[in-house]
Amino acid sequence: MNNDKLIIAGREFNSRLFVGTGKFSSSKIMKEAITVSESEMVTVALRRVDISNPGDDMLEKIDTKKCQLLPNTSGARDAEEAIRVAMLSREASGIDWIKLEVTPDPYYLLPDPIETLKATQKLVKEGFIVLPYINADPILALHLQDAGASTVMPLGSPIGSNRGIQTRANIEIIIEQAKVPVVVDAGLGLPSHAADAMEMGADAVLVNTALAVAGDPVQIAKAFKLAVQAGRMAFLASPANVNKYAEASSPLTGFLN
Amino acid sequence: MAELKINGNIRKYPSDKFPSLLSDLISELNLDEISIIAEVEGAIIRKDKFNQTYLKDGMNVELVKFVGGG
Repeated sequence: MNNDKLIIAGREFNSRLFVGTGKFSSSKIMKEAITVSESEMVTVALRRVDISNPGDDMLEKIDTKKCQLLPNTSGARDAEEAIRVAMLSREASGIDWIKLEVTPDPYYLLPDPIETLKATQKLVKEGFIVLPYINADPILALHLQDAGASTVMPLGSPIGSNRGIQTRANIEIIIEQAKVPVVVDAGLGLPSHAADAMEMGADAVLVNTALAVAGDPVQIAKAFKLAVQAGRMAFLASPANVNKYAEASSPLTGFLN
Repeated sequence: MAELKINGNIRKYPSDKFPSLLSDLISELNLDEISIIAEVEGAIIRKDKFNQTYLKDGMNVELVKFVGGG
């Protein structure tokens, strides 16, 4: 287990839990939750400055020596907008990692597969390390892999819905076929959902809302950390098969009759 | 009078108060130059060029920064 590192674009990660930074009630709680989660991959978003209330510098709150900062393109509705955000983000941070999100639909925030592929092709050519957020579409995952994506990030259920893995059959196919790491992103509301993804063989999971809006974000961050570790450990242990009929655990001989 | 379009909103200046450089605008708005990312007329401006980027009446300026997100 100790040598079980996740490697993305040549960078080693000790933790398979990625954490988002949105919606926390305070930056102090966010910081504590990230620390306790032991996550080494932390997402941020790019937004217009509110000139009347500019707020703090987000990047000061994150230990960037320990954590890879992963800016996202949230809010982008097509490839062009996503590319623009990625370029701005790289200019701002010097970081060429980008979590590509192209979500034209405001109700379910489902990612646009065609625009996501277009943006991936362009951003890879521009030297970005691209981690695209996608619906759980195995064929799209292969196209993105061929286009040079560094991971694929299929959704379990819609962003922030906390409904767990509702795309199981397709995520299983993605995991079976992908040569790049598979990160289950979106919809994981409970540690058991995260353990579920890891037991299926996902390489990592990403959570944000599940931590940020919990009554105790720090405690649930710890629970997610343990669940991800447990799920991974179970996957590596080759779990027992599922059977239709009972298989006695106790010997079927030597009964007292 | 002169004006700039900042993050989609018009901001008017008496001609003698118009910020002539991007760095002047950022300090006039009390923003921290380190955390700001700027686009002028659709072009990304590198931080080390903030004090060499001249602004003119009617220009479109976007000022963005990192915030929490998933």
